[in-house]
Amino acid sequence: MKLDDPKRLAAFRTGRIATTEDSELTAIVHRIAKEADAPIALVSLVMDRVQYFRAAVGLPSELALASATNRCDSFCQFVVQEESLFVVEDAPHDLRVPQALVERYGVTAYAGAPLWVDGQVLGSLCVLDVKLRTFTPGFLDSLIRSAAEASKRLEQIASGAIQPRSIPQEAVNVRGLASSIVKHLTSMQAAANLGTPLMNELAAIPRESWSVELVEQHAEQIGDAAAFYRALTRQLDRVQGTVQTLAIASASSEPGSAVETLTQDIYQLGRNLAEGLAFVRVIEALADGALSTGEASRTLSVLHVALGFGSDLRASLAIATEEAYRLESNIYSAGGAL
Amino acid sequence: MRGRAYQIITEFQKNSSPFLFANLILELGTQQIDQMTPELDDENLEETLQATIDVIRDTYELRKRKLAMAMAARRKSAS
Repeated sequence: MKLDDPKRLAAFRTGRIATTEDSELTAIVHRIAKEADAPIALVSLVMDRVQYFRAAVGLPSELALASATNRCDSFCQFVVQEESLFVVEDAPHDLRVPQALVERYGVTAYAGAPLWVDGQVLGSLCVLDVKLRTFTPGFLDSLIRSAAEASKRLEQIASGAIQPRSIPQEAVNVRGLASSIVKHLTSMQAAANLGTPLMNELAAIPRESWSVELVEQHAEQIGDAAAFYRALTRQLDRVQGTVQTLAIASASSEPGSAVETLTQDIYQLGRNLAEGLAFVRVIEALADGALSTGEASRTLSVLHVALGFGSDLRASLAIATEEAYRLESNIYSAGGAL
Repeated sequence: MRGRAYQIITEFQKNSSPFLFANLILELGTQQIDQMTPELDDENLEETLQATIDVIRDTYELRKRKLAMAMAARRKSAS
């Protein structure tokens, strides 16, 4: 199935799923919303569990805050599945699409064009409307062209994640870098082994049972989980920085491919953590009083699904830690040289 | 003091949520925590450990208070 194709999921590299605003992508969504005369436009990345809004205009406040919805609820999943333009003109009576967004937000019309990056469809550039309407062929052509523009930008963002600049090899203590990566990943793994079972307990509560009252009942545990997630992301940032330095230092040498494998594993970790970000944002907003009960109740679906990232995270951590140990061992065997 | 770090960490683990202990692991690293055996006598490490635990506890208490206040405010507005 295209949605869960590992090659497609591997294309969600760090910069592409970053939470910092990208002015070019934001400009594209503003322009296409105006052109369509639609209230909402998105650069939506359809990930493993959630669809993440990399750029957006016109979203209801809680969706703008979470920057994501449950993937199962999304219309953009069909753009990825079909790898082509997907148009809905009467959502309440369209049997192809899930009704969650129709019922919660009154979405009635949708047009989405694929975002092709690294030969994979990562998501869609789309517009949504809350009234019955049609989209002209001229507009749909324009949507496809703008999607190509957004795709190009997403390609650029990721290629800039690791700058191919040179570092004097004598300035790099490769043994130290490798040991530091192992140390941090081992700590992350030990912490995840403690923290994620508790998150899994919450994720195991059936989706239909989730309510604001249930969130309040488990508020302390959920708040701790969000703080734990933040601590994990800080640790991953440190690891990413070290892996990048190692990648630059080893770009033209034999162990370079081993570093590249580790880099891919770290991307995978970053993706797992990004899937949980919607959960953290919603919880932090609840704690800050930034969401009303009504708004909070509309985020429960994404909150529940994002909590499930823990199992994936543990699996990714196990793979990355093993790879880091292997790399460290190779470097030591080679006498600390790259 | 010999065994002090071990005592601090054992008590923290016993009396805290696994999430808080997981945060301590992330802050100090497994290598440092594994060093904290009943035989260890390292004043610097004891101080680092206590300071890290204090920060984790303070952050936890603040979060707990904020959550309680937010919930109370929502209940009040709902009624």
